[in-house]
This record gives sequence, C-alpha cells and structure tokens, in this order.
Amino acid sequence: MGGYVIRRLLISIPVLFLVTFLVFTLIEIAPGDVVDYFISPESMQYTTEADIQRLRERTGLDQPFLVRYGKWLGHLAQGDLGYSFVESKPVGGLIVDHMKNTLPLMGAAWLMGIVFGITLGVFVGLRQYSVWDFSLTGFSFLGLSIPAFISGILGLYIFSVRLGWFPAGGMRTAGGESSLSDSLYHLVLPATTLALMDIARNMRYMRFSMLEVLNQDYITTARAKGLRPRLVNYRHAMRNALLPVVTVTGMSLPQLVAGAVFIETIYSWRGMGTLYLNAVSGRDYPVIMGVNLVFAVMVLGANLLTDIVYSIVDPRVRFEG
Amino acid sequence: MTKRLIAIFLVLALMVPAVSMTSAQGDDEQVLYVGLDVGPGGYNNGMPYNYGAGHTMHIKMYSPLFVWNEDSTDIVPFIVESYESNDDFTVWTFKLREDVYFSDGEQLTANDVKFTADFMTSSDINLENFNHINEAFGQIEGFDAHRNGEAEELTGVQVIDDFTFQYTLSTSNPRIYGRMYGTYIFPEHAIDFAPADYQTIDWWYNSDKQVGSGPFSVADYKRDEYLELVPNEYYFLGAPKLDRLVDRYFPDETAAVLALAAGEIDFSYVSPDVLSTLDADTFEIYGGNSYVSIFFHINYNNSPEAWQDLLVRQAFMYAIDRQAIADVVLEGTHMVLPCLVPIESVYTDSLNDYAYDPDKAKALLAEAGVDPADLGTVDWVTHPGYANPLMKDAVQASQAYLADIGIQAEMRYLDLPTWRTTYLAEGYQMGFRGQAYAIFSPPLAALYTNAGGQGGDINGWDFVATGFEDVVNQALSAPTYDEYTAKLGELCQMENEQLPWLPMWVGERYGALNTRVKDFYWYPAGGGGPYDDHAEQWYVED
Repeated sequence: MGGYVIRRLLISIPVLFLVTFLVFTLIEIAPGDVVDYFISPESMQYTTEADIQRLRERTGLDQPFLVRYGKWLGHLAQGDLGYSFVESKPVGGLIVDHMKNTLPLMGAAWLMGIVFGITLGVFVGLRQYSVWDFSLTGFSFLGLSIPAFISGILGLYIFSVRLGWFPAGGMRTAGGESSLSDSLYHLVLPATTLALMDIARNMRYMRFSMLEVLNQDYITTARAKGLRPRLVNYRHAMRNALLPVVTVTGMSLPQLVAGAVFIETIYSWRGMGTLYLNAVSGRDYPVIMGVNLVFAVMVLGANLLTDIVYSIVDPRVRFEG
Repeated sequence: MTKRLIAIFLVLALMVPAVSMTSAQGDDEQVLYVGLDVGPGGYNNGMPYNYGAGHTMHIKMYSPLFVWNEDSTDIVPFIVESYESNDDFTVWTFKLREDVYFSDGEQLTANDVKFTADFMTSSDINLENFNHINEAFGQIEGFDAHRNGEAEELTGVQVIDDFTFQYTLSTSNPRIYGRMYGTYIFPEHAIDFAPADYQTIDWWYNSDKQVGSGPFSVADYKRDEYLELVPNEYYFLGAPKLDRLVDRYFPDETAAVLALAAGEIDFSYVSPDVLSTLDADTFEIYGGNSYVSIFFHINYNNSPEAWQDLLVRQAFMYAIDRQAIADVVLEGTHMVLPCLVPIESVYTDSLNDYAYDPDKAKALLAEAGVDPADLGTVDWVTHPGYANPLMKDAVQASQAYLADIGIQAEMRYLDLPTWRTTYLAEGYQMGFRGQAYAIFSPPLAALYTNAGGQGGDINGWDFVATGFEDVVNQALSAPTYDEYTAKLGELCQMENEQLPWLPMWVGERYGALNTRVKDFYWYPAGGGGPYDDHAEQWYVED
C-alpha cells in the first residue's frame, strides 16, 4: 500500500505541472489582462502610455509568456505562490484566508451528501416502488436538475425571507461577536443548498446499488438460511452496495467546487469560489494559478483517498508494491 | 425505522436555529445595517482615492473639501468655508472651517490639506485609479513633476495660515472646485506609513489606527463581508445618533434584496423590476436621475463605410422605438435622450426627437444608397457595466428593431479586460455602453476630445468632427453655471444633428429603506457623489 501511495504521488507531479501550464496558457490566450481590468472607461482619458508601461512593469506583464511562467514555477518551488495584483496581498495568505471559509462549507455539504444520500438511498432501496421510493426519487431528480444558482436563491427566499429561519447570507452576524453557534447558523442554508445535488446523486447511486445487491444469489441464500432481515440488509447488502458509492463521493469534489462558486456569491460567503471568480474577472493570474493548483491538488488527493478507502471497504482490492 | 429517520431530520432542522439565535445588537443600541453599495464592484474598499465609486461610504469616515449638493446639480463647499480666485482663475484661495476635528480630537488644518495633496500625488502612490487623483489634483501646478518623481512636493499647493490654503493652477479654471468634491483630507499626525504602502497597509481598517474627520470611524472590517463604523464624537456637524453603522457587502444584488426583504438590512439599492415586490408599508422608495447616459456608438474605422453617412445613422435612430423600450422593457424607469447630456433643462424644441418611424428609416437607407443586406452581420459589443438583465433586454429589443429594417446584429457581452482589449484594438463595429455625467464633469469631455490618454483617436471610436471639442472646452471654462448649461445646450444640439453616436436613455436609480429608519437621506449619485447625506442625524425607531 505504501509503495502504491508513493507511486501515485510521484505520478501527480507531472499531472500538476501539466495543469499549471495549461491554465497559464489559457490565461495568456484570454483577451485582456489585469492592466485592462484596472483602467475603467472613465480613467482612460487620464491614462498615458507611461502609466500603462509602469503598471505592466509592476505586474511583470512586460515579460514574455514563458519567462513569466518560469518565474512563477521558480517561486512555487520556494513555496511562494506570488502576489495578487487586485488584492495587493500574497496569494498564499489569500488562499488560506478563503480556504478557511470554504472548507467548512464544502466539508459540511460533502458530509451531508454522504450521510443523507446514503441513508435515503438505502431507505428507498429497501422500499422499491413504494410511495417513499417515488417521492424521494422525484426529489432526487429535482436535486440533480436544479442548478446551484437557482436552488441558492430559492433557499434564501423560502428559508430566510418567507420563514425567517436562517440568515440571508453572510458568514456571521455582521458587527456581532464571533461564536461557533453563529457560524453554524450561517452555514446551514448554503451548505444544505450546496449539498442538494450530492444528496440526490448519492441517493440515486445507493438506491440502484442496493437493488442490484439485493437481487444477488448470496443475499437470497442468506435469507433462505433464515438470517434476520436487518442482518441481511445492513451487514450483507448495504456494505457491498456502498462500494460504487465510494467512488462517486470521491469524484464529487470537483462538482462541489463548481457549485461553491455560485453558492458563495449568492450567500455572500467569502470563500475560494468568490476569490476565484474575482481573480478570473480581473485576470489576476497569480491568484488564478494558485487557486487552480490548490483545486488540482484537492482533486488528485480525493482520487487517491477514494482508492485507499476502496481497498479498505472491499477486501478484494489489493494494491501491489 | 421511518419514524426514527423523521425524528432525526426534525431534530437537526430545529437544533441549529435554536442554538444560534445570537444577537448582535444590545437592547438599547442604535444599530443600522445597510447595503449601501452592492453588486460586483460595489463598495468593498476603505481607501479613498483608490476607487472610482464608494463615496457613499468614504464620506462617512473622511470629510472632503467640497461635495455635490443633494440632487447632483451643483458642487458646494463642505469643510471649506469660503473661496476666491484671481482674475484669470489660476490662483485660488480657500478658507477652511475652523470647527473640523478628526476622530482623535485633533483639529483639521491647512497643513493636513497640503500633506494630503503631496501624499496622494507622490510617484510612490502606485494607484491604478488615475481619474480620481487626476481629477482632484491634476490641474495644480507641479502635478506632473511630483507624479513623475521629479519634485518632492506638489508646488502648487501652499499653506497661507492654519486655516487658509492656496492652489496655483497650471491652467485657468473658473470652477476648480468642481474637481474637488472627492478631495478627502487625511490627518498628517496620524498617517504613519509611506505612500508606497497605501494599498497594502491595514491602517484603513484598523480601529486602533484609522483616523478621519467624517461622522464615523472604523470599528471592525471583514473584507467581502462588512464594515462596521462607530460615531466620531468630534464630528463638526454633531455626533451621530447611531451607536453603530454596519454596511454589509453583497456581491450579488439579488442577495441584497433578499436580505432587505428578510429584515436583515434596512437599506439597499434595488433595481426597477424589484420595486413592485416590496411591501409599500415597510419600505420607502428613494429614486433619482442616475446621470448615466446609455448609448450606442459606431466604430468608424471598422464599420461599413456606409455607416459614416449621417443618413444611415439617422435611419438607425428612426428604426429603434426608444420610447416603447423605455416604457415597456425598462418599465418606465428611463427617459429617452436627444443627446448624451442627461439634463432636461438644456433641451430645446429644436431638437429632433427621432420618433419611431421604420418607413422613414428605410427611406433614409434608400436615399443613402444602402442595401442592408450588403452590410453583413453587425458585430456589437456591450460594456460589462451596462449589461444588467434589464439593459440586456433593451439591447435585444433594439436588435430586433434594427432587424425590422434589414440590419442584422450579433451581440457579444464582454467582461472588462476583454471589452478594453476589443475597444482598443477596434475589434468591433458597434458598441453599447453608458457614460456617467456629473456636474462640471471632465469625463464628459472625454467623449469629444482626446486628452492624450488611452482614448485613441478623439474618443476611442474614431468619430472626427470639428466644433465639439471647442464647445466642450468653452463649457468647462464657463465662469457661471448658467453659461455652462447654455454651452451644454449648444453641445446637445450639435450632437442631435450630427449623431456622432446614438443616444438612447438615461435611467432612474432606486434605493429602498425600511420605514423604521428616520431622518435618512439618500440619492443615487454616480459613484456615490460624495454628497452630504447627514448620516449624523440617522436613527432607528424601535
């Protein structure tokens, strides 16, 4: 197992390198740069070529593409992600600041996706063609088909404006004392909205997987032997049915990241999604590169973790080396 | 099993709100929560001069020399008491009020004005927002030398005595005060950092450091979340009644409106389509001229040659039913413009209203010898600042009207860097954007002149016409307001006849206030003014 993990980590290095090069190239191809972002139409009449040149020198944009990429890599090798042009702050610090906010949001959503998705999937899997099955399957289709920006606004409207149960955005009570309960209170609605798609997807997979396993011969044998239904359903069927869902939950990370971009904007949540969106609109390439690197590491890490978990839950899976 | 699951759900659903009903507000505290400048690019920056907008919040913390009046029709003194100039308007003497104090109790003097001018025009300042610094100090003698690092100070600013200072200008300007509305004065004794650190220092948000002469000072700041202010007991117009003013930042306008409807904030900008959804008993609506003129412009270098024919441009005007779009698509919140000057008082009966007349449009095209089919598909780009859902609908309606006379257009909605690149490269045929207008506003001149900047030839879309620049300069140097507006009327007439661009609409902007807030004032001044909103008088009724 140890050897396998090290091999996977080593393979990740060229993958990350490729990712960073592709992203840097895409930024280069995109029209305009951060200097264009800085100069509003009203500023244009006052902006001289000398001003532009000064800005380009300050941001390093006067250098050729490969030189800039090489410098970025060189700094990265020293643990330096560069300096944000728009925020005037080190990228590393910005990412840590925003990640501290995104991790609870994504973590809570991911956890909810697993707990509720699997629980509901097992629940309806054991009640095929019941009212529960039809209702929750209908809910799952809804959850899968509503985009995050619609469910976000709907969630705000229903639970904040109409019912008044939760705050209308923000990460804490503005101007209030920070407390865990206050943070949790603000987290519930955005995290639940973000989790909706995960819950729906996990439920669908779990339901399908349960039904498949329940029709296997060994389940019929177990039942024929007179084992208690609870033992058959949960110890024999559910454990085996979990295997494909493990893969799905591991792969859901990129989708959570994509969903977080919308959810953070709608709920005024100062996270990685907001940082990334602002960086892209401002062509703030050090931030774009830094955030992409972190996301790429997260996705590769999640894949590796999925494989490791797979080997734990499925004894048939063994890694060589 | 089923019952157990339902029970778990219920417990989870009820638990979180139950443990989290914390209150940010003490029982007797006067706290006002607002969303004073929402949306992407809204106020989220405590640094004056570094931002084209945000004056609504800047003036809460720093007092400028002059401000806009309540409805953006004039510039009036704020911490300046009186002013006078020499005969040729090149030397101006300003007398400061003697009762202006900073939040730490120190008096604001002419030395602070001199310090601010030198500080903000330093070559080390490294700000990208060229227009604000240029507007405030650009006409003062020695500006270029100091900005380029060739001089140690801005030589054109002189301290006469504690409360008197003098501007020596590099050019005659009979209304220099028209450029001084955003000149916030900083405390020399409290600024403990160099100009080079202006953007990176936390001074602006640190309650232990920040010192200003506005009605409030900083108590807490969470970037992208909120700015919390507490009263400046020394404020020269009286200490504020509020104990705290909290401005929340909403990157999304819809989220701000929902927070308003949920009662979490008491004021926010609202778009016209939201107005009817707000409870009339709970909200008071504020509105006013946005002074942002919306128009189409032709790229004269990169468009079919036929478009340079006035008859074709007139055909465009007659083809689009601007009034119907204003009434229906823009829900009656916009006024049709005869020219880009958004002030009705300068309009005369001699202006052509270009009322919708598609037959006339076709006839004009025929007269110009233009077959629309030969023009191909028009590449039409939209500036991101004017691409909200309502404006997109208006653009698409215009596109449909042009199609009726055979002109096909393809729209491209761009982000800011892409727009500027496309604009400078002249990689478009037709543009859609707005132009903010402010009283005595130099930006207005940018449309007609090439001030040596990035505008390209003349105004960036290669329209060349004689006479416009002269009238603009005459307007900007008119010694009285009446003469100024008379020149604007002349300019409007020229524009209306020559159609260098196609003027469309000017809109109203709205804000909604919860009626529990009293003695509140707000006006949709471009960039937030600044204007004196008397925030010291605001209070919240229980």
